[in-house]
Amino acid sequence: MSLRNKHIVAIDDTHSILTFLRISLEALGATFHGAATAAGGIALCESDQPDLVVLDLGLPDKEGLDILPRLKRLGKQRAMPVIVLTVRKEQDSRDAASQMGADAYLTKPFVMDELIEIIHSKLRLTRDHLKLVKNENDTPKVKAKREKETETENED
Amino acid sequence: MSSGSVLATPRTLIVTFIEDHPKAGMLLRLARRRAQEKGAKWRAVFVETPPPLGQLEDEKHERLLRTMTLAEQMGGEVVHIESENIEDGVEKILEQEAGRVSLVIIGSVEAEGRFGRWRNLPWMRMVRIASQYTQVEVLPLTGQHYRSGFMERLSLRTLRPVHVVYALVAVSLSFACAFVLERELPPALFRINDQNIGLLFMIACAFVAGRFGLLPGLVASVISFLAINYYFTLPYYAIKIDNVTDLLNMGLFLSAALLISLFTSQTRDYAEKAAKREISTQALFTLYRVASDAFSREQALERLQKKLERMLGVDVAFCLPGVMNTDQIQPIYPTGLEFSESDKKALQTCWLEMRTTGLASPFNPGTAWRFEPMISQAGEIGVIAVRPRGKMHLDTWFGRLLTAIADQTATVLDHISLERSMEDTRVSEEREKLRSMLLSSVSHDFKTPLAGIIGALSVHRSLGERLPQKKREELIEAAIEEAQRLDSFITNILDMTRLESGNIRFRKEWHSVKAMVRNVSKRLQHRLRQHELVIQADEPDIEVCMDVMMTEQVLQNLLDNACKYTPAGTRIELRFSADKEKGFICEVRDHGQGLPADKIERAFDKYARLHKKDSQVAGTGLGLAISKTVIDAQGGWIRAANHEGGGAVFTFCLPEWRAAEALPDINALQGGGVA
Repeated sequence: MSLRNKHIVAIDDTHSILTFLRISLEALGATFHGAATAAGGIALCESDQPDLVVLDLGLPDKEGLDILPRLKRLGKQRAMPVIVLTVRKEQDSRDAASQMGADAYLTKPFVMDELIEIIHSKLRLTRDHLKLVKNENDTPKVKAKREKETETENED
Repeated sequence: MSSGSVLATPRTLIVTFIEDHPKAGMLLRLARRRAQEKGAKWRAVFVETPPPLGQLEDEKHERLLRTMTLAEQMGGEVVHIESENIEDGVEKILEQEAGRVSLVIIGSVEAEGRFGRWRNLPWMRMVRIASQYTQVEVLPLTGQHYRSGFMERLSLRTLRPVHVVYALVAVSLSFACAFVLERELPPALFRINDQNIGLLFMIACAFVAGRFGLLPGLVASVISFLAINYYFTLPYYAIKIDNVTDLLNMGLFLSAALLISLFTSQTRDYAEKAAKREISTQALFTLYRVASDAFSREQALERLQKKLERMLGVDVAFCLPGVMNTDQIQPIYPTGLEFSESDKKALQTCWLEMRTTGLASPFNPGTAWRFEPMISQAGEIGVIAVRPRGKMHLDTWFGRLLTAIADQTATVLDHISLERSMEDTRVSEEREKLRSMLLSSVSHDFKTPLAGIIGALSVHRSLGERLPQKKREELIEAAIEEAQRLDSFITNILDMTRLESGNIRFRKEWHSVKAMVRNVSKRLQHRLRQHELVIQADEPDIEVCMDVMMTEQVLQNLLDNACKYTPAGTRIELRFSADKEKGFICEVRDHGQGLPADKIERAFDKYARLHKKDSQVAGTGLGLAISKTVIDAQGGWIRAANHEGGGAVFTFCLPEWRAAEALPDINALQGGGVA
């Protein structure tokens, strides 16, 4: 499954991580933007309206967890998932992240395939969720059309 | 003490009867020691009797509880029984264990009050009952003293020949006075006669009693009576008591003299007691003051030993048990003191049995030293030994004072070790905290570059063939860059470890600054990509006497920090100057936010960055600490500050430099350049 037409933003202050995220996600067809600071990340989310955000917790200007609720609010319309990336392994940190609204928690270091799998599953969940919300409001005719669309998407 | 009858059953139990005495722990210790000696078990028994009215029940209860807990901790069995009176309780326990009990240990206390010595105290009753069953050992809980009283004051021990001589001299003086007055005064005026002669001699008796005590006073009154009878009553020059009047006169004079002697000697005793009480209070107070602010037991004992010797006018020694073998005890202060064989034996008994031994005590009395055990709530501490100087008499008062001093010393020492152990715990807790913080910081700082390496390589593995050549190279570059970062962390940590353990040796040689800058900027090429590095040098090229490897590390750390802590695109300035007086000075200026005011002073602290929740910028936080150590070790200095242009400036100086041969301008070597 490709990430075509998906827009992903990563907020991480480590240059090399942004580099390999960019290369791999772009290779899979996604549009990628990276930010090294919390402020830059928020600005990107406001202007670009991404489908998914990858967030590091230790940022130079702010704690990642502090901006997490704001990011979730910004992406509420799109049910935008946020994946937390961090070196902190402690359960406390996991709990805090999920409380703040993180959709997934991945500890560094990680293999890119793991992250891509999580990105796929989160995006699929979002799509199903959005469809469910829309379907409830749709007329039967539109519904049938949507189902047809879904089938073609799944073939990708 | 008395021995019981011998029975056929093996006697394997030692019983001690505990009470709410503050020093009841002594009983437990003796019981445990005896049990160890005989390979027997021991049991601490508390016989609870209906309490007399008006006692401090809470305090008593708490003390008992503490003693019982201690007994359990010491491996004894604790038994608590209730009984109408103490005798029945003791009987019941010993009946139950019929024949198994090999020894009963009972603590004795000193009777209080005027008629205390004739009172039948509970411990005496217990001893009487227990001795019908088995062997009994009595352990005095309040020290062992002879009790002074009327009999002691009368005893011959306090009448010395010299006192009799004084009495004779005083009476002779009175006699001379009477003789002169009778001879020289005209008979019409005033004559020495039967009415006043007695008074004249009474003065002598009162003086002697007041000055030297009751017994010399009595001696003086007897001599006085004989003198009056011989010289001043009819018939002269003969001792004659043949009528009722003479007998009455003698009786009256002797009783008057006796009373006066008794009262004056009593006054003298009171004065003496008051003086002694003053000394005791003073001694105990001084003891606390001298010892309580000592920072170790050893220091406290050393100070106390000197102070007590001066204050009491006796030789004082403190004996402590060996570290390995706690049964062995030897004098520690004053150093180099050696006891004689008999003293050693007395000391050993004192320590093992926790009782007063040595000079003028019921145990080993013939020795030169007196030994008193020092016991605190926490346990046995050691032994205090004293030796009187000259002809000093070790009396009851001194015995009591010594017990009090031993108790007080034990308490103070306890206090000191408690304080010290609290301090130790605090320090080790702090150290442990720092260690775990350092560890978590280090692991965090390792994982960040590893994440870059693993991530980049994993992308290369899964997508490698589908990626264009340029992207593949980019991935490899990212991985290499992170690997280098990891390498520099590891180098820093190893350097710090080596610097701290003193295993690093600085090799100072003349090296070109230009070459050093070239090496560092080459190494930091990638890191400096996003910044503008500007190099300014006053001198074309100079050589500095330094350990080039370590100094390069310093420069690298400073530049690396400047990259890490300032936004991309800002300028980093590297300035060199050399001054005849100041030496070689290197400055790294950045244009970031600068250092927070409170961090400037602690910038070179090894753990400066540890107190953050999460290190926001990767690095072990050791770089600056290492830099300082390296520069200090080479006789230079390093400082951190903020400059007026906005941003931080780190400056280090090395004292020895010289001009190098003319070479191309150093500015040509801006290896980093603009990314």
